[in-house]
Amino acid sequence: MNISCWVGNLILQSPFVLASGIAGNEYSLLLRALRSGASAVVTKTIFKDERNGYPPPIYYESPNYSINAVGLPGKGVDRFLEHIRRAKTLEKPVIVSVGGTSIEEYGSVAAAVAKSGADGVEINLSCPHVEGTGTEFGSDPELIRRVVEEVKSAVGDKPVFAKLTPNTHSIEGLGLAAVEAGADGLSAVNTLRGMVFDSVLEEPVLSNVYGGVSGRALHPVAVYCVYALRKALPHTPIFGVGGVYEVSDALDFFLAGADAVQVGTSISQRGYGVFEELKKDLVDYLERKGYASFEEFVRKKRRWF
Amino acid sequence: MWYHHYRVSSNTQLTSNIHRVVLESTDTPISKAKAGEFVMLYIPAVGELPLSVFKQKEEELHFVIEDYGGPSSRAVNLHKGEMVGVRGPYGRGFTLKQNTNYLLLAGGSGAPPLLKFVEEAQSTPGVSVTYLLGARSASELFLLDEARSMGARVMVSTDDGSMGYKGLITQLAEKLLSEATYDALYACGPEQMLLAAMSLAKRFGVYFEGSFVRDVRCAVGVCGLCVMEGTGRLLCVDGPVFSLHELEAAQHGG
Ligand SMILES: Cc1cc2nc3c(=O)[nH]c(=O)nc-3n(C[C@H](O)[C@H](O)[C@H](O)COP(=O)(O)O)c2cc1C
Repeated sequence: MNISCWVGNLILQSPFVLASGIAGNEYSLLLRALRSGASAVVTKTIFKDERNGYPPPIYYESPNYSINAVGLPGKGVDRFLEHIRRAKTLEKPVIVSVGGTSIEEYGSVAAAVAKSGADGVEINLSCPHVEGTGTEFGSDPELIRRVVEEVKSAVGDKPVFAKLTPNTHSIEGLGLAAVEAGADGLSAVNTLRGMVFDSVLEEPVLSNVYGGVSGRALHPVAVYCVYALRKALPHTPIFGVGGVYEVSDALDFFLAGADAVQVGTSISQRGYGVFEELKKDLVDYLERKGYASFEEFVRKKRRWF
Repeated sequence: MWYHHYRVSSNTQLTSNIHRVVLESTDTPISKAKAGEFVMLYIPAVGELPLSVFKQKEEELHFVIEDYGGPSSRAVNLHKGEMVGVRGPYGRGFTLKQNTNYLLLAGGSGAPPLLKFVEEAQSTPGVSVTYLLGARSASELFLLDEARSMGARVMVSTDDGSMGYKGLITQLAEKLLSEATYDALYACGPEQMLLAAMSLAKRFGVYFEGSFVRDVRCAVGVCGLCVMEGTGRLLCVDGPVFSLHELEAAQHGG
């Protein structure tokens, strides 16, 4: 069974990609994800300068959701470039997530990673828990336009994906702004802003007090976002992101119009082995349903569009 | 449950910067940890730190905590009655096999997981344990009777010679390895000592496991920050104990 797919001009061996922020930014861990069956990886969001992130606790998990406020730690783009080169030894796409606290920073980081071999760039317009970046750019269509234009002109012909926030009244508005400004595709979505307390200790759990909700609780929200974007943008490549644990979660995204999905939080429970399991279960599903390929399944006309 | 809640029941100073802290469960205790596995200790309004479990009874958790700055400076000052959160146990500990002659190297605050190992080894058939504790000077050594009472042969090294072998713990280990045969060398302590112990094990053809330290934040394998560089392995889920093979295979891209 052929489960390869095109996302824009990237060819993926399967529609299961590692989401940003999970494997950090060290080449050997990115390679591990690829060797474990991810068809591509998105790196952790990288900035121009070194960032410490927040001190622990930075993560909380319940059976229904996770919440994190890692704070985008990283070594800064200069020390990261070597890791891109080393992660590219497997002929699978390495998509670099770029961040910025100014429009210029987004552009300069994107230019540097594109020059060092990134196969694509994902713009983090959606981190909900760090001031001065992410959602602060990504909830304003005008700022999205300016960031996307800057990044697009910085990376030449490399594909650019805008990663959108669900913390908005109009996900279509954000997606349209990104695509009109030249984005080649969209990743939907990043985490939903949220918080959690420990009532025995009477304390917020995260050191940053609030953070971003991911995992199962985010899933139906993310599926809707993909659906709304697909209706507004029939031909734009879209990654569905949010709460993919089982193949049925991925199928939700495909039925809502996603071309491929990114997998994040479920790795805490399923480890990197999740990629081979998802691939196998997708093949089983398609065979049982009598499809000749994944392509045939995703291209099928659906009455809800 | 993410945090299991505990109340501090005692805090005993062992050396100038190392304390033994005992917690008592106030709801459901965490499940059994093996020697080398760790938990995240959450001190409200201060932060979280990774700690390896030193002793565990039904309702009780014992830690040996060194003040190395950050939240650990507060952890060594936890006082009776304070409430904390604990999550875990996480990771993979030391493997314990029957009929094995172990040489254990504990550098300073690296003692707790190895002392727990000594305890587990007590009830395992055919196991003999030589436990080495190294420090700069005699005043920094602790819990030696604890190790002796659990049946280990105990030896110490101090940099200044104020007690036991004068020199580094790895030099003492080298001496022992050339005098007698051991099946396995396990180590916990500063990275430099671990690397020296690892190359000793290689030289003498002895099986090696070491417990390492990295920047553990999520502890469940999703933030990627505790990666063992070049190995693709995460300290929080694949470690903190790694065998020589796991660390080496990786250096060659395995
Ligand atoms: C620990 C953690 C770190 C993350 N770091 C980033 C990041 O650096 N950049 C980013 O765009 N998204 C980041 N995300 C968001 C994920 O990429 C993803 O959009 C979100 O978690 C929803 O997918 P999931 O439910 O499969 O995790 C992070 C998520 C988690 C759980």
